[in-house]
Amino acid sequence: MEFPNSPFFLLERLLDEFRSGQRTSDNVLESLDAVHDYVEQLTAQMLAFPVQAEVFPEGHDLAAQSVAGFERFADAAELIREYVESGEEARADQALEVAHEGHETLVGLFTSTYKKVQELQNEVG
Amino acid sequence: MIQTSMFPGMNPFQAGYQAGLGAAMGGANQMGGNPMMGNPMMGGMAGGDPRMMMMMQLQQMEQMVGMMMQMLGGGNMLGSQMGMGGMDPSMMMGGMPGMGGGFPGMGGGFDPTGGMGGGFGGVPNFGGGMPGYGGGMPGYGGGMPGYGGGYGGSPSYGGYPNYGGGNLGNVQMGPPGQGNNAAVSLARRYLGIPSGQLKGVMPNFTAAGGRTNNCADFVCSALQSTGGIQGHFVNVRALEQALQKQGYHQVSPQNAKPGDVWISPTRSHTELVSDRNKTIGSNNNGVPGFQRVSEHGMRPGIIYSRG
Repeated sequence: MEFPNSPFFLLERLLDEFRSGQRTSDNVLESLDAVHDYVEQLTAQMLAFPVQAEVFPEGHDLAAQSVAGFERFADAAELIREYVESGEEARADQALEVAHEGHETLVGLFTSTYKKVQELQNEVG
Repeated sequence: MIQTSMFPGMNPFQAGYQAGLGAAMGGANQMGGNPMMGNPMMGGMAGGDPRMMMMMQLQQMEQMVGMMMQMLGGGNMLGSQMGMGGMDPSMMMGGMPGMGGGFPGMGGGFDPTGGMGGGFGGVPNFGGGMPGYGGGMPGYGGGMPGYGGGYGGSPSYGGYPNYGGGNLGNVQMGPPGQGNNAAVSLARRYLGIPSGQLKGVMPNFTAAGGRTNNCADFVCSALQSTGGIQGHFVNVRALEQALQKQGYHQVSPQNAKPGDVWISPTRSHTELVSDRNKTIGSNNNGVPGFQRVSEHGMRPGIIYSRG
């Protein structure tokens, strides 16, 4: 499964563009605001998801894991913000690590969910 | 200097995403009912089988995670908002030659008035009021015989590509035009979508290979729907023979042009030439048993052209 537009890759690219002078700090900070808003909206939606535990007992866990993955991107964005404001390279490295954690978490969740859906589809289909 | 495309307040993409996500999350948002239980808009079947209900919940979560990961080809909403030009303009707006109505815009999300039985939360892609492809008819959205009558609006899977109305969204898609570029334009409408779901959505497409083997079906559908070939062929060799009989001839990769047909040397795969050095087709993507429409650099192969 390909996720070329994952926030991880977008943040990585954002850093590259900042470091290469293609973006100003203000420009980057605006983009980070967009990331923050995007994550916030999806997190709210996921938290509001009406899990029906009687038919989907692992639903709450899955939602919590998803939110944890989402929030890694928000954490990474915050670290990049700190990097831009402070110039500390370690922050940028840490940001990418955190974003990658989120990426891996969500890839795993997506893949496992997809397989489970396929299994169920075969059962009910 | 790159300019970001930050919009004050809600931009159309966000609006589409929000509406679509709301739709993906079920009727609770848009219909005022419990999305799982007995909403007549949902076709009724979903209320009975716990496995079905679980699958529906799983799929909705999958969609939300997929939205975060922006896994679809044209669905890079966040990248667009970050000023990364994530949107493929051809996915956003219509007006491509020969496309008829084209795409009035991304998103649009859920139209509560569109689509009879608009599916589980009115999943926007196939359910909601698309005049071109069955909007409002029970055929593509609600009432599909697959999963509980209008569960996801997708005949084979159930709303998989509907990340908030992102790709197909609640858009009006006109009839395909004619000619080589029209074939490519038509093919690009489905970028990122699992090809197994295109039956009933892409003109002439039959999903003959289920989810796994639709390459010739996809290429042939794009050509057939735009006047590039007569008849429908779902096997690469059969397609090649038909091309030869209908006036196509081999050209070098350097002379390939959009709308030509690329075939692998072993005749195991085929795609449509979409640009000078690119092809588009129903491709494997690393997950066994799963093909989706994607565009990539042209690989070595045989190219047939009619021009």
